[in-house]
Amino acid sequence: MNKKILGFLLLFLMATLTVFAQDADKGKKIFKDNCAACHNKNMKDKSVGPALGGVQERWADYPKEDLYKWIRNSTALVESGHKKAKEVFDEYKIPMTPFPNLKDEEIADMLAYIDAVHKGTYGKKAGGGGAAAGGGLPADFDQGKKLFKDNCAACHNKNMKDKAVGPALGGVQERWADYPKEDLYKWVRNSSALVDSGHKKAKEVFDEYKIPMTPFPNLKDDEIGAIFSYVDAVYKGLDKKQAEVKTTGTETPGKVDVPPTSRSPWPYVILFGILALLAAFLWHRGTKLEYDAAIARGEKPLGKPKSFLGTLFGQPVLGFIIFALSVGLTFIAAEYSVAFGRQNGYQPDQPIKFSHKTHAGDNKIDCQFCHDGARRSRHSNVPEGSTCIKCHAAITKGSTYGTAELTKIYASLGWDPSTGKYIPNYNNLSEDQIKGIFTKWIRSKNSDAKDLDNLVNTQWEGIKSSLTNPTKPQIQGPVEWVRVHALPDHVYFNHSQHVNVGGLECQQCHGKVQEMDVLRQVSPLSMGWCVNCHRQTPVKFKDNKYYQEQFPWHKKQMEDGTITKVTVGDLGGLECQKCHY
Amino acid sequence: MKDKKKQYWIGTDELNNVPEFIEEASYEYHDEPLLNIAEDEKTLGVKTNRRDFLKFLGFGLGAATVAAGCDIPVKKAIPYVVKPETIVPGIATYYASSFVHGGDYCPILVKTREGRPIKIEGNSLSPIIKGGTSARAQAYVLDLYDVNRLQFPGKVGDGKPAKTDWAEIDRAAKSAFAKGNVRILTNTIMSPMTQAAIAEFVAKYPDTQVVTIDPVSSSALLQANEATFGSRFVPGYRFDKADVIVSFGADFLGTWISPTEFAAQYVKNRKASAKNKHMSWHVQVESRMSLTGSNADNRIMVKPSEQGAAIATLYNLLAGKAGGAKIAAPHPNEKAASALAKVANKLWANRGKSLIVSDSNNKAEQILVNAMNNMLGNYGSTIDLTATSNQRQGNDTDFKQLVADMNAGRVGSLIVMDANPAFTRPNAAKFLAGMKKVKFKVALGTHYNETAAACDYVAPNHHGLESWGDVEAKRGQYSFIQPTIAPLFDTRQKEASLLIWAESPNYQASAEQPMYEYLKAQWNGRLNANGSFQKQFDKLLHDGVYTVIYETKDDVNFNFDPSMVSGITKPGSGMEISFFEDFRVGAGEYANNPWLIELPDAVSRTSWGNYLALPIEWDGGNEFTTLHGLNPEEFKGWADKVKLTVGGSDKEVAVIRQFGQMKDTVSLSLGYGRTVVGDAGKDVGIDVNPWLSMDKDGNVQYFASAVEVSPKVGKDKHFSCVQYHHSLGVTGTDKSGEKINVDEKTLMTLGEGMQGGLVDRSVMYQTNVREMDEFLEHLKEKRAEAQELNSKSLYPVEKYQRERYGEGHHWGMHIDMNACIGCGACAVACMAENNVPVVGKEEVSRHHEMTWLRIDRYFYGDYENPNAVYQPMMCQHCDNAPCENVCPVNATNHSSEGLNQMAYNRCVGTRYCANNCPYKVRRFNWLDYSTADLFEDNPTYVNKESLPYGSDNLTRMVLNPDVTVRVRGVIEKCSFCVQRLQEGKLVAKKEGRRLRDSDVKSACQTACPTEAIVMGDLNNKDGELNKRRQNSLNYIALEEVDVASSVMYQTKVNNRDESLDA
Repeated sequence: MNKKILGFLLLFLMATLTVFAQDADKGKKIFKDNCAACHNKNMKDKSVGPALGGVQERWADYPKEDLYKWIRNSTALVESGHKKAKEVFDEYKIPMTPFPNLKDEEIADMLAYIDAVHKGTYGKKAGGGGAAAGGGLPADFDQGKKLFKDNCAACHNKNMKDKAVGPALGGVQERWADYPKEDLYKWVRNSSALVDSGHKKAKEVFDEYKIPMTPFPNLKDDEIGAIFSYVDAVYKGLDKKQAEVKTTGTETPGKVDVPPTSRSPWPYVILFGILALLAAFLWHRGTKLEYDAAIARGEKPLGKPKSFLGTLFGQPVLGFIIFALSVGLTFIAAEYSVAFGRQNGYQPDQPIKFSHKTHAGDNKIDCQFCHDGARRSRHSNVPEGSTCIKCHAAITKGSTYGTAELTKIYASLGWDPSTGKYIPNYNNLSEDQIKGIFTKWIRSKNSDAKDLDNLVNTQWEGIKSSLTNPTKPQIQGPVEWVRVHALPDHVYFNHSQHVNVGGLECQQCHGKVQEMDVLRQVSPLSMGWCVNCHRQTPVKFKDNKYYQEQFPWHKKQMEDGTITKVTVGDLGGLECQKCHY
Repeated sequence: MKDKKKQYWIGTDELNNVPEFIEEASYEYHDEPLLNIAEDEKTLGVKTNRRDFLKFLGFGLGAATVAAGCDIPVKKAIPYVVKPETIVPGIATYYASSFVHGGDYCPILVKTREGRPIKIEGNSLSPIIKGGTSARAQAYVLDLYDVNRLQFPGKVGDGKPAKTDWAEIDRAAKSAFAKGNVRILTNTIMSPMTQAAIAEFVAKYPDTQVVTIDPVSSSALLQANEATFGSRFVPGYRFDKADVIVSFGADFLGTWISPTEFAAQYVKNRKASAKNKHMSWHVQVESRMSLTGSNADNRIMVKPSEQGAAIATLYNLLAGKAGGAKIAAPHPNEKAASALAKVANKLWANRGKSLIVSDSNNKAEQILVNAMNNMLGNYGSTIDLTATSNQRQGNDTDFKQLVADMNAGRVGSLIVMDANPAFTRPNAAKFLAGMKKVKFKVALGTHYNETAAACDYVAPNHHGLESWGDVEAKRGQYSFIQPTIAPLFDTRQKEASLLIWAESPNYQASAEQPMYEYLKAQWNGRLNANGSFQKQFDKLLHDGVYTVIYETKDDVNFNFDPSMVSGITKPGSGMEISFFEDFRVGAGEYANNPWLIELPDAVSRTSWGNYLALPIEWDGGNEFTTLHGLNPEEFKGWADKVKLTVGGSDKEVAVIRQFGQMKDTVSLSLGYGRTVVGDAGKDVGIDVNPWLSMDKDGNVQYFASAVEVSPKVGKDKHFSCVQYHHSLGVTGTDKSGEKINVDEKTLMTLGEGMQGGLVDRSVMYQTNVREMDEFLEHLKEKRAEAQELNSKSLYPVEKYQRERYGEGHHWGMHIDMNACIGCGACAVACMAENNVPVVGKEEVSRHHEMTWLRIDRYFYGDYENPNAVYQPMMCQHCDNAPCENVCPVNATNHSSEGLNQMAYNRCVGTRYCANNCPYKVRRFNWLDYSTADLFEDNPTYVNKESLPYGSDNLTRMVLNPDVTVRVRGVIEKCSFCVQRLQEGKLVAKKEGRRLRDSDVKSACQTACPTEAIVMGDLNNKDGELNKRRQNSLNYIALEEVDVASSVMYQTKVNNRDESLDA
């Protein structure tokens, strides 16, 4: 058991280390402040201390902590008889200045910096047009990437290897190699037409996936070509070789997922209690001794000392407790009133047991496939019912609940899954007519069930209770979801600003939605939380000409290295009227 | 008479230096004694004793505890079932359409959010309007959500329509029409589609006659053109091509024919600068100061009854020069006659580049105007006979005949479309009597009005934003109307009603949108034959406008001889009154639109009703007198009420002392005092229509003589005139005769020379075009002086401006006061864009109006015949803002983009900032106008209504979802439309490029018909804003107080000819 916990801790530590190791920029500062006095900046030549390049490799035989210990206090390590430590000490004879206050992540940053400088990769930024233009990558890579993102990414996995709504695109050209190139292009522009024309390969693909591909009649030949060369490049990993392109997609950046270490107040409370008791006891002993001493000196003492309990519940102590309590309670009251209206952790039951885990997690559907407002509007949009039909026209039985939950959507919309068509004049149908349609459907889909009547009945009751409420007596009409993330009216938040311009992943604010069966609000959505992120998060300064052209001084500073990043806050992102107007 | 001592003024009390006024103006808000406010029964009836107090206290505590313990309410997220393709929630969609209301016209873009229209913008593709709007067009969207709209087909009885169904109306209508003698009474129709529908109706019921009237008649103008050109039309006027403009009473910038179009033309030739000193000369001949008159260079004062004489005199003068036949004509007053002689000289010198217009509703006078324009060779140059206007078609003679027919029982059925003659016509009583003799009467309109109340049925029409249609406002220049929302109520488009009654085969009742199909059918075949019709038609709807170019007619067959001129109005004696159309509520058509009712009149600065304007006389010294010494306490929010007797009948009316009103005349506006009207227009002002008269042609005359004004008979304690509200830089003379700023009197007593002791503040500048060089020197000096003072500041403004605002954006504005005509479109646009509440008459009188943008009007020049200048005033976004420093909670502070930002949720309502604002542009929410308060049942007694204006759920649909609705107890003010700035920046960021001028435009900027306002990024060196800010006529209001304002004003330049007054 203990081992397991230890192992987990170790893993956690390593995960943290790897995460922080990425930040060589921070490391540079730490190195400058602490190490540069004795170690050569080029990491290759000796100085007072050894050349640091390759230090991790040299210590590779020992646990990582040993090197950290060495940095914090080398003498102690040498004295403990550590072999490598002794070896280094014997060579240089001067004990290294101890840095007991450096935190793990700081050391990791610094080591990352050392490593980067040593290997000559530091300062050469990843990504960017310059790198992409070099050999290896196709010339239309960038164009293809953009087109892919705009058109294909909603249904096709970005890694080109896994299936999503649509098939993995890697190697698609090879798979279609038996047919003329135009066929594949035709397929992209309008797959249904191709299927209808009796094309063999087209039929094969359609039969496998059942969902017709969204037609893109406006894509030009060279655009489709660009998409394919992008697909190909990604599939073959050319992009990775060229530059360390940041991973995107459903993989959440590790940084976000590190749970904040919650500090329990109880140890402090207990410690405080013990100390307080001790203080009371000492005070009590003190007065008692004074009294005894006075008696011993033959003086007349002022009064008989109280018993220990008497001291404990005496006026001064009680007074202090009351004072402390009122301060504490005021503090708590203030904290609570500030948090009034916040609801992180809110996880209400929804009328339909929609699972984000099934959709975004298991099936890797892009968030913006359904929440299509996020990239272009201030609202991310709860998807309209017809969005579901895009896939659930073909997938008519859910993986977890079978027909129980999916039929609710059909009933809300008036989609008849058995015919694959919207039911005409649906809004004017009576409840019994609707019941007739959908109970028939449930029955047909669950014919192998044991107690079929009961099942049909339960499911129908479920549909009815989910889709109706006192203000909406009809089954027809929209599903009234319970809103989880709600900002107050006086806050202006724009999804497209964050998703489109800022390039944030949805998970950054909404947590690992792809692992949630029932959606839960993860972030507090408080002003402090927003502001904090605005303080820390750099804008895409180098990638966006808007910033480059509107902020020439920042641009200059970026270029001469005075600053390494421009945060949202640097450009006025902390001002009241950026969000309140 | 002119007093050089005082260059600008806003009202008499300021000029008179009434000590009380000086005291009053030194306070931020009007301080009424508590007893005056609490005088009504409701307040006095309240008895609270100590036990009640304890009860309230206990309840308060309990309520607070309960409220604090409440659960957070469960919010729902309700998606579309099937989302319309064009809607992305959160993104606005714009549709091209047209604002049409009788002859009022403006091609517009309707901004919709999630399918509901929330804002109107001008359509810049239109060759007529070119993107500008009017106050009425801006307020059009509020009409859509009017709770008083007709919501179902109704049978009239008991003073209100009872619900019925369409089938019943259709049945009753068809059987009545079958009996013959149908009359259609309508406002001017500019739509070919409507004409087609009427034609189908007439084809089915052949003895149908169509009678057209206008709310305010231009019948004589049409008759005169019929007489001189042989056809009834309104020509296309080109004010931009005229170097001399003479208007006899025509308020062409405010209400006459097509004010939005004319305003844009007019200012084009008025933009004089140091480099180009050419500008037109505009003479207005009138008795009251109209919006147009306030913009004129010279005003010639004639009594209403003398207008005909003035026209005739000018005609004779010009005929003398041209060698034409003179006519026997009455004479106007001496002063006017001598001035007209000088005008005639100028006109003659500018032949072909001059323009004479008149609002006279006398056929003979209009014929003379045509004859003058012809002698001057203006037809073909400043008057376009090709692109004629359809905006006025009313025929008063026809209406007179209709009333006679009705009374004689010759009319079987009457269809009233939009028109409201029972209110707007002097012979309304006779009309109503005739109505009783008509068997079947049905009203097709959006609102229940005086005429509908006299009908048997109301067949409610769609609002224009729910309708399909087309407009031909000028010949060959079409625009389209398309719905921007599904009909809110059980209404039916009026054309559909006609077609259904005509049993037209072209009306496809089963179609999804029958009127769309009908409109399309109308246009099929009229577009380019090559190419798909549907594609072309879609493009028309998308653009909203379509122009067919007609070839210019060269030969004008002008037919005139002096014998045609008979019946020129004879000048009367004694006191006279003129009745005029208000640029806000028209002749009552807009009398239920609170945005328009609360918008202050440009000249009198009054809102919520009509006030009798009294002339002001000056004794040449320090005394101003008005009739019977009325209204001594205007600045306190009190007006005197008088008994106004016209032609034997009298009414009580509140008065206002009005500069520019001619001696022995008074004036009062039309359109108020509606009796059958919605909640907002109820009990607002008085009805003047019964005092109108008709001449022999049946043409309505908008003046009357034999007027008596009694001494004070009562008091209007809620005088909603904003004249003395939020004044800045008001100067007066202290006891020793020194000129001081009244609002800084206290500082002055400490000693001169302090910053607060500046006595001549630079709020307003104006110059004559001939004195411009001199003035520019003066302005330069003044500005240098101010800058010198400012350079001694401890606050490093320049450094901040350079370092803090030097990159990114620095928002600024430029306002050209030469272009600003005071039309108020910007003020209404601001209310619409920023969810500014309407507060009501009583609140306005207490200085509580919430407008973020106001238009200050200053007079200058001659006391008895002054000129006026308009200054739009809004938050100046000072980079050294005095409001920011005094906020104890930092609720107002400065952004790195130079915006003076306001965080409502931080504001605790100390109002220190409002007190410290030198421009007086901050507004405090005294009451819960929006009902956005936390406790739903809190606002019980606002404006003596159960709910404040616009807080019902229907009207709240007009709210802009991007702007917070403010609660009670916070300060608010102009934000430079920060929501638009943020949106524009986001567009630029998404596209990865620099911000362009076109990305960010404030609501006032887009609304302005004359492009007076430009807002933009000061850091964009090549932008329009920086170009405009180079002008040497520019200045900064109150530059000397060193607040580093971001708004720049361009000096008003006039072309006043002093010799005319001599």
